[in-house]
This record gives sequence, C-alpha cells and structure tokens, in this order.
Amino acid sequence: MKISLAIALMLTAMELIGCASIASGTKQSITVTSNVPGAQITHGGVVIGVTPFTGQVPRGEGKSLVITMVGYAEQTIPMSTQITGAFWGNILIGGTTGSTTDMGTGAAYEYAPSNFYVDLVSASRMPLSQRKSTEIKQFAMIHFDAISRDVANGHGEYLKSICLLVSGKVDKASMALVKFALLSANGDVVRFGESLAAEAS
Amino acid sequence: MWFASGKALLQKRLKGTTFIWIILFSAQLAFAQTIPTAVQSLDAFRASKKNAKIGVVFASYYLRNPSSAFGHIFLSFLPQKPNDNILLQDIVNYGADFGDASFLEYYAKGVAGGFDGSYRLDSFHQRMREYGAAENRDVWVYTLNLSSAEYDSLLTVIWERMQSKYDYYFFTQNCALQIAKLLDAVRPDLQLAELDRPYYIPAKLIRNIVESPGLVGDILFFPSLRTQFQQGLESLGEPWQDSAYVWSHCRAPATKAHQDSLAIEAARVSLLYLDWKHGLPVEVEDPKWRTRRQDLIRFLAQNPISSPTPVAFQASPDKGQRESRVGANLSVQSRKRMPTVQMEHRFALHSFIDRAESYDPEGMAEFLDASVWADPNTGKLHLNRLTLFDIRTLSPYSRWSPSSAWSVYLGHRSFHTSPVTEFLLGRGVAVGSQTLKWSIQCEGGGLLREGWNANWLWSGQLGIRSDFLWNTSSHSRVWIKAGTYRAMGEWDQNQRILQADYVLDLTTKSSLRYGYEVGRESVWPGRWSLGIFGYY
Repeated sequence: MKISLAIALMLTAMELIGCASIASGTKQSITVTSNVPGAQITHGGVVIGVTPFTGQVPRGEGKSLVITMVGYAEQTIPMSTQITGAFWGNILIGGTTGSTTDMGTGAAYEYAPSNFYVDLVSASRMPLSQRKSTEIKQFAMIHFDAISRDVANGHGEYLKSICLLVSGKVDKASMALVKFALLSANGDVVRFGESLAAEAS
Repeated sequence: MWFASGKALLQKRLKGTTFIWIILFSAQLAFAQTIPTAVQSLDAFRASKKNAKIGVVFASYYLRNPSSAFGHIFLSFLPQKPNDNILLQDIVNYGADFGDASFLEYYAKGVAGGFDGSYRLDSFHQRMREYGAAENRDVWVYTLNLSSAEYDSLLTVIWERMQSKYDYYFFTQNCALQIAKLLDAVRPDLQLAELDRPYYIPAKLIRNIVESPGLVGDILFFPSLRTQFQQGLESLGEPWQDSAYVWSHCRAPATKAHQDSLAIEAARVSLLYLDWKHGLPVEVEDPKWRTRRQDLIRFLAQNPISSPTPVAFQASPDKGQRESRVGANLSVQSRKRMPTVQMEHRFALHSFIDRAESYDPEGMAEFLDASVWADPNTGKLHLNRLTLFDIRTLSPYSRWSPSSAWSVYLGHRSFHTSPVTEFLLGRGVAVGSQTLKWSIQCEGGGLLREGWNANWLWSGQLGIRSDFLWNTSSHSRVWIKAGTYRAMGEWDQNQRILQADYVLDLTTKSSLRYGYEVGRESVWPGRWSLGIFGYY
C-alpha cells in the first residue's frame, strides 16, 4: 500500500514536467528521394518500396536503408541509435533511448530529419563531375534554410559557400544564380539542389 | 580516522544507489560522434591541406544529449585562400562508434572503454547544421598560431592516428583529451593533455589553450539561430517587436519596398524565429509556416539592408564550466550548540554561479554535490548531503518562448539524524530578462527515510521553490536560492511532519560564492543552523 501510494505520487509528479511525452512510438516516418527514380529501398532485409518513397519503417529494426538499382552502385544510409532527445527524462523513468539517424556523407545523405536523398551513380567509379554535383546538392539541400536566409539578407557565409561550390567565386552573377534557383524552387529543397548542380555542370 | 569512519558511513548509505550513481556520473563525460572517413595516402592528405591553418573548435553544451552535455571539441582546417570559406573545410574529429548500443551498453561500455574510438575527417558545414541549426549550440573557433614545421608535423600525426582505433573512455580518453594529445605531439611544451583529475572536459582544453601564451590567434564565433534571434530581438524597440511577432505568427509583411531599416530588421528577426522554433523544415507541423517563411524571404530580398548586422561575441567558453567546485561551510547548529565545519565538493555543470561572461545561465546541472560535516566531540565525519543530480532551468517565459521552468532532483541527506533519499520534480515559470531572472516552481516528489521505529518509510512531499538570478555585470552575479518550502506527510503512523528550509546564496565576482544558509529542519523546536560558506 505504502509503495503503491508512493509510486502513484511519483508518477503524478512526473506529469508535472511532462516526462510522459517521451514515448515516441514504434515506427518512424521517412522520405527517400533519388536522382534516378525507381530505385529499390530495403530496410532490415525487407523491401519497403521504390524511390520516391514516403512511408513508415519500424524503429530499431535494421541499421540502415539500402538503395539498389541495376547498373548503379548500391548506396547505404546508416540509421543508428543514438542517445538523444529527452534523455534526462528517460533516465529518470528508465525508458529507452531515442532513435535518430546519422547524417551520412557522400552520395546518400539526410538533408533533413528522416528525409534522405540518394545520388545513384554508375557502378563504376564516381566521375569527378558527379562528385562535384553531389557536393553541391548535398550542401544546397542540407543548408537550404540557411542559404535562403542569406539570400534574403543579401550576404552570409552559406551564400558565399554555395557560390564558391557552384561557380568557384563569389560575385554578383553567382549570387544571382543562387537567388534565381531559390525562387524557382519555391520551397522545394530537392529541386533547389538539383537545379544548382545542373548549373554547375 | 575521520576519513575512515566517514567513508564507511558513505558506503553504507549509498548501498543500493551505486548503479544510479555510476550512470549519472558517467553522463557527465560522454563525447562521441560517428563519422565515416575517407582513407587517403599521407602524401595526398598533406597535399590537400598544404599551407592551411588549423583551429580548435568548441561547440557549446547541449543538455538534451549526454554525449554533448559538456560540449564537444574538434580540430578544423581553416581557409587557405582569401576567397575560401570555413564552411567548406574539413574537420578532424575524435569520436566513438556506438553502433546500436542499448542504454545499458552505452554506459557500461563507455565507462569501461568498450567502444572503439577513432579520428575521422568530416565537413565543417555538416557539423554546423547539427550544432547551429538543429541543436542551437554556439560554436567558437580558436585559430592556433603554429609554425609551418609544427603544422606539417601535425598533419603527419593526424594522418597516423586516423589509421588506428583506440579504446574510448567517457571520462578520460574522450574528444578533449585526444585533441589535446594531438597538439601536445607537435608542441610538447604546451602540456595540454596533462591529466590532473580522473576526467577531462572540453572546457578544460579551451582554458588550457587560451592560457598558453601566443598559441591562440583570431577567435571566430558562429552563433546559433537562437542566439542570433535573441540579439536581433533586443535590438528592436517594443513596436517593432510586436510587428516581428505578428509577422512570424500570423502573416508576413506585405512585399513592397520599405525604407525603415528597423522594419527590415524586424522581418529578419521574424525569419530567424521561424527557423529557430521550427528547426529543420520537415519537423514543421504548421502548414502555414512555409508560406510565412517564403513571404518573409521575398520581403527581405526586395528590401536589402545596406550592411550586415554583426552578431556580438557574447561569451567566452574558457570563463565558465569548471570541472568541479569545492566549498567550505562554517556553521553553528542548535542541536550541538557548537560550531561545525562542513566540506563540500560538487561537479558543477553550467552552474548558476558561473561567470556571466561564460554563457547565459538558463540551465544548471549539478552532480554529486557532497557535503560532510565533522563532529568535534567524536571526531567522526557525517554525511550531511549527497545530491546525485540537481537539474533546473531558468528560461524566462515570454510570448516568443512560452516554456516553463522545471527541475529534477535526486539526493540523499541527513534528516533527524536519519538518512533520507528524496526525489523531486518541479514545474513552474520563470520571468525576467538576461539581467534579471526569477522563477517559482511547484515541487512534488517522494522520499524514503528511516522512521523512528527503524522501519523504512515512503512519504510524499509538496512544496514551492524560488530562484532569483541577477547578472550585476559581466563579472559578477548574484544567485539567491530562496524559499524552499516543503511539507511532508506520513500516512502510516499518524504523524505529521512539517519541514521548512530557508536557503540564501549570494554569488559574486569570479565565481567565488559567498553564501549564507539558514536552515531549520523538522518540527519546531527543531534543529537550526546558521553558517557561511564559499565555493570555488
């Protein structure tokens, strides 16, 4: 009786700081886009669909997304468990750790939480031009918000950096190019990245 | 003698809490990042980094993740050409690969060195997305003044170490110590990696390099979105703050040429607010957010400002976040009618008594705040208090950030000569500005104590607590921790116990805390104590 009362009291107290909101469900919603549509997506050994894909995958099953397509190199996106989020609440109630996804590098990357972009490349070695294209897309998509803020302000380190990547210099012409791509994309992050990569090539 | 008996008492009273203690202790020092690396030959690596400079990067604390609770540290190459940009540079990061470790594995292996640590290359801009945008952590880059020979030597050492794996320990062999070792390898005179404690945190390395004569050149500051927003908001007057609020919450300004620079600044602040609060785009649930954001960008693009607004360099990481604090308290207690001496040691993480110029103290986390007192009659040491953790926030409530203040406490203390283990959760509100903050919280929780009949009893308690924090200047701070009123009721013995604690702490220059503590415990006429203590 005493213990049950104490537990009830503690649980009530926990409600005070909202620890109950820690639980985040058993599934995670993801979006996967690729430069070549129709690539197969495997998660935890199970084929879950083809790109472009939006759907849910079970948390904790499978450490990565594997993207495959005939004639292209296989791409793997790591999805590892990290200690994150409401850790301090979790440690108090003995809950499990949250799950997030590592930011990948290279041709497959996460440009926003649970939003992945895959640059499928020829099964042979990635050519230098495609490497450059991937670098531009990655920077543009990951820093879409920061670049758009800089464009709006007319200056900024992110704007300078994307100009350097796209045209190798920072001048009015390169800034205008980025601004045009941004306005044309109208908020579409993938479109923005792909259009800048196309400009560079 | 004192020590031996005190240690035995401590061991006895901590029986059963060791596991929690280990977990919380280890939570202080966990730094790890998992990054893929590209293997290059030494010649290719040296050629790609030829004639560059290097800096030590400090990303400020992030309390929501124990891996980042003490901040993170890594090396970054700096632009080689005037037209280059640091965002496009590589960094050298030391981290552990946690893989898919479970909660328990994370701590057990982390403390025991069960994870592989390695040096990896990553891109600076990836880190900035994580720190500056997603986690709202300010970042500082300390440019190092190394000679060409030292820099070349450092490249070789970095490359060599990237070829190997190391045992990663939370407390010692972590990011900070490994980066210190890298620098010591080329500048042995620096002795940055001198391990004088059983732990090494990033702020210690920053302090060491800042205090090394001539080592640090320029310091670059990369403010988080939150910092940029707060500075921008403070620069606006009340009417424009109202406009910014409307533009960010309801509708963006009409897209037309606007001559008033304050209107443009207000729009810029609105945009920063949207990005800060909504983080990365896909986390946004408000469907109108993207529209408002686009409208603000159009407005700003059509109303260019003539010169950029510089973000002030607000804080110096080397000034705060000490590894631990020790204190002494001389007090008189009514029970003994004689002066007693209390000694205190605590691990202070983002303490409210850190210097104001270190960083904004909106949160505080303290671990293992231990206090013992000596009884002159018996010569024995007694455990007065052992706080396992005490975490509290003091974020002021505002219409921009209507967050509540909260606190979590788990500790062990002496009560009525018997030990009490308490768990408290609080929630309330904090108001104020950067200069003055005041919070009041309702606290509730449970306690386990040894009753008068020698049985262990569970009890509940409710109370009110208040904190008052005043930044008198960049060098001094007053923290008054007042009004911890708690009522405890016991339902199994028909006894009522009323407890009231009054605590007053005064904090002043250079993190040295002078305080006055007046406490009264148990029913009147109970024990009281009056003392003065200081912390360093």
